[in-house]
Amino acid sequence: MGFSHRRRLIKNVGLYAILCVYFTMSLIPFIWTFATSLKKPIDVIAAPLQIFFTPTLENYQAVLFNIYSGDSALAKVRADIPHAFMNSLIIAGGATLLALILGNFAAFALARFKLPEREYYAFFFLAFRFCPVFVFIIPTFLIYQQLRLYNTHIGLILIYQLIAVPLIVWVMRTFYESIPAEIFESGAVDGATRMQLLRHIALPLAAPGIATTAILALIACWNNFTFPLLLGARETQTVTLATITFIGYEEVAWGMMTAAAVVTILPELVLALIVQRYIVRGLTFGAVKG
Amino acid sequence: MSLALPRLGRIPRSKHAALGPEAREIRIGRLFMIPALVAPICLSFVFLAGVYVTLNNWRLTTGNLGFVGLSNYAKVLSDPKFWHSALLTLKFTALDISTEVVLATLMALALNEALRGVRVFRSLLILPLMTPPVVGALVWKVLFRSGTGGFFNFVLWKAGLPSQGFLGTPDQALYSLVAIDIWLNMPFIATILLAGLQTIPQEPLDAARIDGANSWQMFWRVKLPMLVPFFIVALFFRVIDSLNVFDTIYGTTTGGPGDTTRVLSINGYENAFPFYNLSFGLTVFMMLWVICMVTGYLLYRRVKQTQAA
Repeated sequence: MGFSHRRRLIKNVGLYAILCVYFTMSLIPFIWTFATSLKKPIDVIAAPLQIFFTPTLENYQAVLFNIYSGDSALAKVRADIPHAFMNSLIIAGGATLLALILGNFAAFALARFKLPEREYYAFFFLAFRFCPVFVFIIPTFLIYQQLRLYNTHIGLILIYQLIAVPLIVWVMRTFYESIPAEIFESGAVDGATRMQLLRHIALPLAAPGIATTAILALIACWNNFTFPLLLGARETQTVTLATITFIGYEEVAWGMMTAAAVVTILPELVLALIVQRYIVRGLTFGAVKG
Repeated sequence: MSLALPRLGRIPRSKHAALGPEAREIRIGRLFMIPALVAPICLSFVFLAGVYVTLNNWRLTTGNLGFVGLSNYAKVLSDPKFWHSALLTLKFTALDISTEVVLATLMALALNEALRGVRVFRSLLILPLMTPPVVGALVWKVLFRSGTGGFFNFVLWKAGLPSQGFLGTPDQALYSLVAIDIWLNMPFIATILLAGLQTIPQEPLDAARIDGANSWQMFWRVKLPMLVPFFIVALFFRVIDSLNVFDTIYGTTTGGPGDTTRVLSINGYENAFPFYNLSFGLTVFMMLWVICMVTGYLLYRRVKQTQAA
């Protein structure tokens, strides 16, 4: 017994060592970003780098309230982060809401109705996940300029359906499938119509699933970069896009850029931790129900 | 088995479909499908419009200069820069995915152990995955900065090692980008494999242990075969994403230095927008689309095979 106990101990110590090394590496970028966001421009470019420095909220003032203080030659490279944050909220939020309205019925139908062709639908939705987004973006760019949808919130909300609808259909479907069939059967015996089944039985039971799916879709939309890069301009600039504008031709405003990165990532990380149990489902479109 | 990719087969036709309650169900079900199908159907037309664009000479500045047939395709296929980018894309994907798979397997096995505090590690695992790739890339750009003011070069300097150029040097840029992509996406594979490990029932493991199998044998003979479907699903998504890598490169090297990180998506983007040649750029993406579809189809077939087994 003593021998196997010792082996177990060695094994566990080894495992902890591996995990600690990996997670140190994995978290350094986050910690470093946060540290840099608290530095004055002079401390950011100090070489060799300073582990200890006097923190400042200057960068956050600039990023959150558009207050650019000091001499700042860096004030040239500025982005309107509050405006971009609102844009991200409108576009990602609007796209998620629209996709929920469009996709929820289909998810229910795919999970519950014996449609003979349902696997074809499912495959059709999945196929979009495997196309380079640019094969849609370039023609959309031309179409949007004709329809005056270029650089509008509506236009971006519409193109975001490319990623949001398939995700919602696939993931919501797995939630509807996990509701026991008997509940529907008893409802059907009591003479409820399909619409009533969906409204009074399925929707309340699926509400946590809907919330989870919505968060997953919201994160996917929030993280998107190519749509607002090519189908929008200053008026519809999102936060992911605004963060990159701190890289100017002559100078990079590292402090403000990292502060913007913190503002972009933080709300997501909080949401992600709430739904982390279902994250696998969201990432694999329900292919793995982990 | 908790894998649920669709199986395609023949659609059975019912002779008296119009009569029974099943037919009503089918009709209502199809009605329910309509709203969700609007977006993909519109996008299918957008794709066809894209095919039309590649058959014309469409410029960002001057509009359509006329029909040119397949000459864009001929130009792309005879362009050495295209082939350079195509090979680079495959090299990036191969390096990226192979390293990710190995690391992710180790990580999933470690996180599946009953260790104290393992839940905290599991939560931390997904953090890079939730970061927007372009922001993640910018963050790494800060870490990779040259001179002793950059984090990695500071560490090297402290250790008495020569400083490195990382993203700024031709022979290191691609590997630095692979490192960034591994940081961002390895957790994706690890999370799926971890979910897979948790579905493995205890009995075969116990049986193997009684038969005197050691941990190494248990992994290769028992766990790994049961994980195969999860590996394939993970690859299914990751390979395609890696072939399409854009955000991380746009945020850091934009293809440079020289052409050393100019993968297909950057090549196509630059032709279409900064160089105003929408048709040529889109043709490059059509080639990438073919590569993705072939890869996707092959992996999809494997998924179905593992499901049938």
